[in-house]
Formats: sequence, C-alpha cells, structure tokens
Amino acid sequence: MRFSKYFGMAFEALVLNKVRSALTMLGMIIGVFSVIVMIGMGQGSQAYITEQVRGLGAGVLIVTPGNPKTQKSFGPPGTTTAMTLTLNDARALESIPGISYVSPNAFIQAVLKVDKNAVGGMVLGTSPSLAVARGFKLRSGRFFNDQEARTGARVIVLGRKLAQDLFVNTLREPLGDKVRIEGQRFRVIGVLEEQGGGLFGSTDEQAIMPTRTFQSLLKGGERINSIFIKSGSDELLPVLQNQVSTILRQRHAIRPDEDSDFKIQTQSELLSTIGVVTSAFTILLAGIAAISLLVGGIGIMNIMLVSVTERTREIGIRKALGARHRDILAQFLLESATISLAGGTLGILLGLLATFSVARLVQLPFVFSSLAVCGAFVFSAAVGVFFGAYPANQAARLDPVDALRYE
Amino acid sequence: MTEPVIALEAINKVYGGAVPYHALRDVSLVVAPGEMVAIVGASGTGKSTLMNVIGCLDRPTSGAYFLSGERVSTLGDDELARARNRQIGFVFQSFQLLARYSALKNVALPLIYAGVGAKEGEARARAALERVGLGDRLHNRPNELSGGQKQRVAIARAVVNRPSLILADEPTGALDTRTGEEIMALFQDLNRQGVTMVIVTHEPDVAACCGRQIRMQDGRVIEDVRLVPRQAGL
Repeated sequence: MRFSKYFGMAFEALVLNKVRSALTMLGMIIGVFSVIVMIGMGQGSQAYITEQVRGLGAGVLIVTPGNPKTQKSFGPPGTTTAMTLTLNDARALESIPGISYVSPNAFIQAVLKVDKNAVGGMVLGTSPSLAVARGFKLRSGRFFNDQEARTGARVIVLGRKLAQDLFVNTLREPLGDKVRIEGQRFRVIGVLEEQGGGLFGSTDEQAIMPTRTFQSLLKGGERINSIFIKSGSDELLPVLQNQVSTILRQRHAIRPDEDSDFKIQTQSELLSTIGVVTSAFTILLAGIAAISLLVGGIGIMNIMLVSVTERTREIGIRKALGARHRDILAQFLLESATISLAGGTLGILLGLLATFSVARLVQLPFVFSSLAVCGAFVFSAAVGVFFGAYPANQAARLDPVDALRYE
Repeated sequence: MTEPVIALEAINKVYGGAVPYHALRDVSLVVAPGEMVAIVGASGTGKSTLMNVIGCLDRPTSGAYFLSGERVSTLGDDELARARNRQIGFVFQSFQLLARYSALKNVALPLIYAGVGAKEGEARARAALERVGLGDRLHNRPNELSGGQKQRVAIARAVVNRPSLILADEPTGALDTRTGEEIMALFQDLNRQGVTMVIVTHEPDVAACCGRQIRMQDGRVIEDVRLVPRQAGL
C-alpha cells in the first residue's frame, strides 16, 4: 500500500515533466536496445556457425593452416592465417586407411558473369564428397563426379540465388550454359536447391567447382584453405588425428621440436573454438553497448539532481508534514527507477523486435536469450537505483527549515 | 492536572559559525491545552527560531522541550518527523501547498506519512476541507484558488491529522485585511473546538485575537500577558 503510494507520486512527477522524462528515458532505451541487439546478433551468428559445423556430421576432422598459437584473429576456418596447406597434402592424406573422404577446400571472392550480368560471389573449390557430406540437394542437373574432380573439368555448380541473379533477363536456363569467372568459362552442370547458410557463407550465393579446376584456372598455386577429413566414426578420430599430424609434419619437414604449421580440430573442438571466439565477440559488442547504458544512467542522475533542486520546497513541505528520511529517499529513488525501468522495458521490446527483423533479413537464426532480457531488465533497474541514489540522498538529507525557505 | 501541550525549559539556540549567534536565550514557556497564544516581536527577535523549535523542525542547542509530555528535544530526525506528523499542524505565511496537487490531495498529504489508507485519507481530507468551508473546491489546484482559499486549504491540511497543536507562522501576512480577519475567525472557531494554537505574528490586530501574548526581544521572552481576546471578523 505504502509502495503503491510512492509509485503513484513518482509517476505523477514524471508525467508532469513529460518531455524531460521521455528524453531521459530515451538514454536508457538506446542503451538497453543496443545491448539486446548486440547480444542477439552475437548469439544468432554463434547459433548459425554452430549449426553449420554440426552439419558436417560426425567423425569429421578439420585441418586448417597456421600455428594455433600464433593465430590471433578469427573468421571462417582457414581464412585468416598463412596458407600452408596444399592440394598435395590433401591427396597424401587419402592414403590413410579407414577414411571415407578427404575434401580439400579453397575459395575466393570473385565476380561471375553471364552476358552483361555480373554478380559477386564466393567460388569454392572442393571435392565431390562435399555434396554428400553437406547433404546438398540439386534443383536441376548434378554435382560434379570423381572423374571431373581428377581431371579438373571446367564444370561449376551454382547456388540457387546466384543462378537466379546471373541468369535474370537472359531468357536462358542456367543448366548447360556458360559462366565466366576471371575470363575463364565454366559449364553449369547443376543448380542447388535453396540451402540457407553454410560454413563459408550462404551456399545459395556460392559457386562450387572441383578443387583441381579451381587451382588451375582461378587461383594459382597449390594453396588451400582447409581440408575436411571424414572417418567412419568419432572413436577413430584420435588415431586419425595422429596419423594426419604425422603425415603433414613429415610433408612440411617440421622438426620434432618445432610447432606444427597447421591445426587439426575435431568438430567439437572447432565448435568450442568458435564458441570462445563468438562469445568474446558478443561480450565485446555488449560491453560497448553497455557504455551507452552507463551514459543513460548518468543522464538519469543529472535530471534527478535538477529535479531535487527544483523541488526543494516540496521536499521541505513534505518533511514538515512528517515525511521521514526514508520517505523522501524512496520517493526519489522510485522516480529514477521508474524512468530507467520504463526505458529498459521499452529498450528490450524494441531490441527484440530489431534483432528479430534483422535476423529475418540476413537469414540468421533468431535466438531469444532470456538471460540477456532478464539481465537487461535487472541492470536497468540497478542503473536507476544506483544513479538515483545520490540525488535521492541529497533530497532526503535536506534540512526542513532551509528547504521551506528555499526560493 | 492536564499535561501541557508545550513545555519549554531553559531553551537556548546558538547558530554556529565564525561569530556564534545566540537566537534563543533561556526561553521557558508552558502552553496548556486549549490555549490560543500569540508570539509577537520585531523581526530578528527569535520568533522564527522559537517557532522552528516548537514545530520540531529544529533542535535546541540546550534545554528541554516536552511536546504533549514527550521529550522531543533529544529525538532523532525520523522521530522528529513523526512528532511533526502526529502532533503538529503547520500553517505558513506563504501557504506551502504543492502546486501540482488538488486541494484534496494537498490536505491528504500528512495522512500518507501517517500510514493512513488511501480511502480513509480521502474521506478525512474531504471532511477537513468542508470544515474550513471549501467543500466545493476539493479538486481545484492551488493556482485556481484565492489567497484566502489557499490558506484555508493549508488550515485543513493542518487539522486533518488531529494534531495537539496548530502552529501558524504569520498566517495573515500574505492576505488582505478582510481575508486575514476571516482566517483569524476560523482560527478562533477551531480554538473554541479545543485545538491549541500558537500564532507567530508581528501584527497587533492578529495578536489581539489571542487570549495570551508572548513578546520576544533579543532571544528572550520579555512579556507574557493574558487578556480578553478580540473577536475576529466582527
């Protein structure tokens, strides 16, 4: 009952200064909004990448170039380090018994052209087994076969959206037609069904060709970005990992006391690495956003200090009529808490809405983080109380005689 | 013997600072229930300080103050607030109403701090306003009321928690003569109903309405006389 009266008083005071309250609240709204969006996007991309890695299936080893100890930045596997893996490395690994496939992957960003249409996309060089491993479904045509992979045939499989964009307004069917990439022509032998995302970006906007074709025509040299190795089961992985390491160290002529210039990870290791990286990223973004929350809190403190000064006489009157220290304290604390909580709640709602819309737009999974929402709510209440405490205490400590005389 | 409402024993009030200022010197005073007392004197004679001490807004530097038998001179801030809330109704020269509240809410304000429920509080505030003749101005804000009406709202607020003492500081100071007379008549009316009144004033006409006049000079009581009060408003 008492509380509801204080709340009523706080609400009245805020309604009285509508513009001022709204502007102060805006600081909180922006702060909480950015925290929610940042966390939402971070977790969305984390979920997305995790989903992709899981999509590789069980029993997969991923070999990426570069020393794990010197790798400092992050990104899709194999994009951020020196290129120490070669196609021949991949071929050498095929000799290991008990392996169902070895898929060397290399990719570049390139412009694909059909007539006057030019579309930017990622061109991926890989092995035919990728189609099975990733569970690609073809809308029309077929995936390239082992023979085409061995001979480096000029064949290409297009993602659904890429095919649409390339052949728009041409009155031609992609299948059997030619696509130009960096002056080279490739015959389209298949168009994928819409797949959504992939580990190296959306498969719908990718072109896929045999690794050999890729290396001989698009990107000179033997360098590749990653090697996927699939074994029958997860139990074989530790043995397999040793074998791969031995073969690669031998091929790269690494002395026993030297660190490897490549990294072998299982799917779960890759997941945890990605988890560490993306959560660090999320925390970083949320931290930056939290600064705006802090600024919002300072805004509240500022406006509450102004309010206390303006209402010195009111405080004097209330004290003369019997308000105790804690009555005044509660009244002003509740005012700042109301601002910050209302701002926080609005910020949460707007943030969720924005996260949802953006996730829909870029086809990321929408992750509802109850922790982030509860955290933002509690935090905004705490901001209100924390930054309201000093002004409220100033108000409560006023001497009634002085406050009544204040002009 | 009935307990005095106010009993001051050798009250001193010294304001610190580079040059200490002795605002009250050995003031002793007893006010019995039902009395109507005027505290008079020129400005700077300690009237306001005395009123602040009596009103529990300020503590004396030394001496003892008993309000309705309770020793309040040594109480902490929160107990003083409680004493003000339960025992004292204030009427100020400048009304001291909250501009954004209606008359009704202004009058109900002391009841919030007394822990009275909203419904009962509103009923009591309504009754208090009717008692001062403002039954038809319940929902007007102070800026929609005349000076005399504002002071009536303040008086209603002073009596709403049934205090043992009403303390008025220059209650007619901001009003014209005619309105001032009406307010004094209302005070006399309340006094006849048994409310103890202490009125600080420098207007002889106001003081004459009280049955007892206490004159202050240089922080001391120099005169304490009882007379037949003038009937206000006639």
